[in-house]
Amino acid sequence: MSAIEELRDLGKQQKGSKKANRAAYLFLLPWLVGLVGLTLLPMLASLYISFTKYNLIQPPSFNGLTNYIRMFSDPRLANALRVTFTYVLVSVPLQLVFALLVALALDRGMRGLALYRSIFYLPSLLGSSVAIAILWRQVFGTSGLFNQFLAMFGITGPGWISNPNTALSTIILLHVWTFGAPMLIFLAGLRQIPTLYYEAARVDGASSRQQFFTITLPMLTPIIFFNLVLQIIGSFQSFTQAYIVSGGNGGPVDSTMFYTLYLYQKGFAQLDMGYASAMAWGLVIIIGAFTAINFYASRFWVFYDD
Amino acid sequence: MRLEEFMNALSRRIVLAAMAGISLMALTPAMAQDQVTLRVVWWGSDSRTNATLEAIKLFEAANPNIKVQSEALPFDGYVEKLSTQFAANDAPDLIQLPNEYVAQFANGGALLNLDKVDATKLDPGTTQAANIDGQQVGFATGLASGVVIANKTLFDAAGVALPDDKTWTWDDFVAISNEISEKSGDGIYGSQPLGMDGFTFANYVRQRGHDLYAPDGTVTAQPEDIAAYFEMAKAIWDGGGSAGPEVGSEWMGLPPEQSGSATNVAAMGFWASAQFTAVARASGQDMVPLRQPSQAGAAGQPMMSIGSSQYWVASSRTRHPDETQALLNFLLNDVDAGKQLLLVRGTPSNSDVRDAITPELAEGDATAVQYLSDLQADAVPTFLPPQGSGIMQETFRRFIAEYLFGRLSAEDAANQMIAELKIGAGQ
Repeated sequence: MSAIEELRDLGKQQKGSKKANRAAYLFLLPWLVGLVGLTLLPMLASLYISFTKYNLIQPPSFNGLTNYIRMFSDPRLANALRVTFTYVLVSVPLQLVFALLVALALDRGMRGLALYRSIFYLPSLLGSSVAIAILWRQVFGTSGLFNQFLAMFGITGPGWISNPNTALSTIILLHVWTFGAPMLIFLAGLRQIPTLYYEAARVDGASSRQQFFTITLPMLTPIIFFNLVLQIIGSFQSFTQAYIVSGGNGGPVDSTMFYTLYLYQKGFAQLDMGYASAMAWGLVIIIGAFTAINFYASRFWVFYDD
Repeated sequence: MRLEEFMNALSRRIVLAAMAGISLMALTPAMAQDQVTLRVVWWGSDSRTNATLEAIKLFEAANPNIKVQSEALPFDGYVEKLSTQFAANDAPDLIQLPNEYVAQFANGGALLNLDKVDATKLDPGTTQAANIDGQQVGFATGLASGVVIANKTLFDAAGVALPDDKTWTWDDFVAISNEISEKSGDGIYGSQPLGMDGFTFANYVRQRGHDLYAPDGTVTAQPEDIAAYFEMAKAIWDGGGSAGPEVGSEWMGLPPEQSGSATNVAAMGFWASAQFTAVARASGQDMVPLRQPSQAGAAGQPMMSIGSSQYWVASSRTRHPDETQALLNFLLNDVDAGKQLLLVRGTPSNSDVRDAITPELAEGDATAVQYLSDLQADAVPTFLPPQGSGIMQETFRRFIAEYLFGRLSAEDAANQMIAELKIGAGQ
């Protein structure tokens, strides 16, 4: 019996026992209040504000679809979309491949696995923090650690973060470096694959390469799919790294101007909250579309072994 | 479960106790009627914060019924946080506001008419600038102007004479910068990169007879004005007189104390006069304030104005308009407060305070005050930056970088910049 069926039966047994339900709702209350007060209501408010002209100081005034129409003729928004898509489409696959490789290496039952696992997970704990983003600025500055390293070989590196041609790459690198969470999920997924399959394959004389492509990878597709969906959604919403590394302005020359950063600047620095709210709903649609495509495409490549 | 069922499920006793608590809370303000608490907010260096806290202590001692809650915030995210507080109807009572946002907040009806503050001794130019339709929406926290901070130690080391700042032109500026770089050791530049300070750039456009923002808020700058400045920035970089845009964009993110001027790697830099002391102190070398250069053929006409460092404004929704204005009046007009504040927000606007503190100033501060009072006779009138001008600095930095990194021609960058400024100003 699957876990979900067990839960369903548990629910049936408890039906009618209102007292227990009340207690459950009481315990749920803090979360429920948060969901309604901090997520649902603000979302509805932002939907309304997206149809208004609102500068945070005067009350909002209704202006119909103006904000949404403006989005189509805003070159900085087009640039922000280009930057964000580049970031998502490059950093997510890179990070997942890297996480999978590390997970495969760690899955060999080596000694001190727990220690290595922790060490490799460490960047994920730190990576989204402000401190690491500041460190990144120091490492990749014109006279930063990385250029000092290059100078030992007689190479004069550019100002990686202050040059519009390389600034986004440093943020992508920062994202790939935080591969810990998908790595742990891959590791758990690898452990789920029955060793029976490998034993049978070895008996039949399959090479380790064949084992990887015919057993490991297909068995892992649900996990890859899960990681992919999570990482794409997360990457579209990335904000902190670009905000700190660029000093809050998405520079140089808007080369690190993520969608979320531009939204923030429009809403809070330029006091154009109506437009920013419309942008926020634009992002909802984009992420929704990506996720829907992902789920649709998953039928063709994700293999469920049950 | 529906909501009313849930309410029934809650113990009656808990509900009663909670209601009693709420009514007690409602009573509290009435009981403390005589005690008033004001919230004051500003951004700035530690020295500004410490001096302000000392001045506020004097005010609290003189007004035992008023308590002042101070918040010193970082400049990054300052306006963002403030506008959110206004939207949430939770604005502080007294606020230090960047000049570029005063008109916007005032037009939204967010600012209190400060008619109870004694303005008789305050600087008339900045006071008049913040009088919108008869409403006095703000007072200058202190006076400031643009300045070129020149490092005489570096000039001397390179064997280059300081220019006469009453007659020098931008051509002189470029030539001197290149000469200093050439005659100095590795890593020393004649000037900071020109892509850093939008306010100097705005003044350059003004010298050419147009305005990034005219007093009525319109953008009259021509593409040639902007392209000329961009090309000068390129010429000075090509000539070795300044570092490139990469270094410039790194220095922009740093506090003044870590800039090229303050770390003695750039012999000249564009600043606000209120920053002179901080830069000079961090440098430790012999620093001299110079006027900005003029256009060729118009020597001695830098078109500089003496404006406000920032403005003090008050929320129109304050529950204590009288006490808030009393505090502002004290900070602006009280000599003892002035002796604590000194130049932390520029030269005092009140002439009596200015005269009283001048003998007590440290050398760098005295130099800055002297510079401003010399400039007074040649200064052009100041005005409040119009609504929407808050984007000027960021827009300037972005488009000059577009040009310097070779992504746009000077003309295209200038045209696009004007288009964005016009949209921002609602034209």
